[in-house]
Amino acid sequence: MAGSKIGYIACVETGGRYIGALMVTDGAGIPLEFKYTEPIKPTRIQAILYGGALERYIKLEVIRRKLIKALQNRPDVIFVNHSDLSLLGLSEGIPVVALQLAHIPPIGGAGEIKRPKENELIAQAQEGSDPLRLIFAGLEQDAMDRVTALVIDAGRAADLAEPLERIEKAIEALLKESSAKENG
Amino acid sequence: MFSRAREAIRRAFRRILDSIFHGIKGFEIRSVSCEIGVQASDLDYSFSRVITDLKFAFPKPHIGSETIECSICSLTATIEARLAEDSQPPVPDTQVIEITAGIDAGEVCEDAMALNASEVKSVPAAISSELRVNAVQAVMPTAKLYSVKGIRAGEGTIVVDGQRWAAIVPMTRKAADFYRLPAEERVRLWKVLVAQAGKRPNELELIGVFPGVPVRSIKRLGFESGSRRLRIWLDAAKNKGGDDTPTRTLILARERASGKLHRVFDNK
Repeated sequence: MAGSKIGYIACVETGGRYIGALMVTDGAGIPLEFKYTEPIKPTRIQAILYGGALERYIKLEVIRRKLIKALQNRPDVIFVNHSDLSLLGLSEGIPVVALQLAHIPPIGGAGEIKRPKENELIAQAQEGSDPLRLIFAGLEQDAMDRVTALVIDAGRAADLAEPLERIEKAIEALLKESSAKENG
Repeated sequence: MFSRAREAIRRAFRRILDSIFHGIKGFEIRSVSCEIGVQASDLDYSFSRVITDLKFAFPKPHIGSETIECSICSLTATIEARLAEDSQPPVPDTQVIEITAGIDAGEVCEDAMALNASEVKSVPAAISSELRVNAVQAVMPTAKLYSVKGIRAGEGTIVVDGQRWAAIVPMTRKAADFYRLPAEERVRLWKVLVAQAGKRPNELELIGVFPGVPVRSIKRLGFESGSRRLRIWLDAAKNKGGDDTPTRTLILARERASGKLHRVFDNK
């Protein structure tokens, strides 16, 4: 699938502040665009008003939607770490899917797919490497099929899960810089 | 040479069996034998001080008088994993090796490899113009409520164009599990390494094989031995991205005698 654009989103909460980042790469993992939100700190009143929905609201409506809307490069899919399943779904018409290395032996040759659950898929993108595990939520079957095809195709050339680590490191650096500014 | 290889395999196999069956009552390993299904040409590319790549078969290993044919499939995976473990280069954990020497695969990275660490950390001028805050390009309707004390009070949440962060944080590539690759592919990669390094196979020790390296976007490379990962700092000037960003497999090896590193790109 030549010309694929792949997005990666991550959201971190620390000390009551939320920060989110979204990176779009080409099929080889080269960053085309990187955007992040400045730290968001809900007030005490907001915490009371939103209650248990506060975190979800911040992640979906403030961070995910705003970051996607600000993009200049529209990705075919956006991947998120398995630890943040609240971000899954369809946003601005773009599927947001959880992705991680499955840490199991290869399930077969490159291109092999297994579907252990209705919303979960194991894909062998590269020969001999750990398979990829994808989790879907709120997507139609054809959207899931398109994402699967992209993972198999783009996954041959690059480690698709790796940019998630990169974006998390970038957020760490941003938080450090932000703390330094506050203290300085 | 052939008998040395056979003996090395026999010893390795024995060691592995010992560890697998250690402590299991009534299971005594009296002798181990195996057949080596390997051609001399393959051997040239695969046998060296440590067992890195050997095409061999265990048709009927014997433990005492019993043949363990039924369990050989599951054993093979364990054995390969252990052989891989045994073949790891003796490099201390967490050490990052700067890859500055090597044989080029032609078009890539010659000047990039010469750059030093301090240059890498600077923000490339080429993207600094994009480093602007898209102020108030964003946010939520209730921006006032989401003001951030001490940071941008009163402006609410803003989305920032942070391409420089994407350039500073290195891309990483994990070493492929060499022993999970098909045997023909392993031999082929060894041949590529030996041909491009200009060394004899037994003079080289394989460090890792890293698929998916974007060859035209590299500024600097480093190898983290603890995690067996390649760090790739991307060159902003070459970091265009796009439809045709080429990737190749990087093979990293060291000379046994001098420790000199060789990095070669697979042309496939």
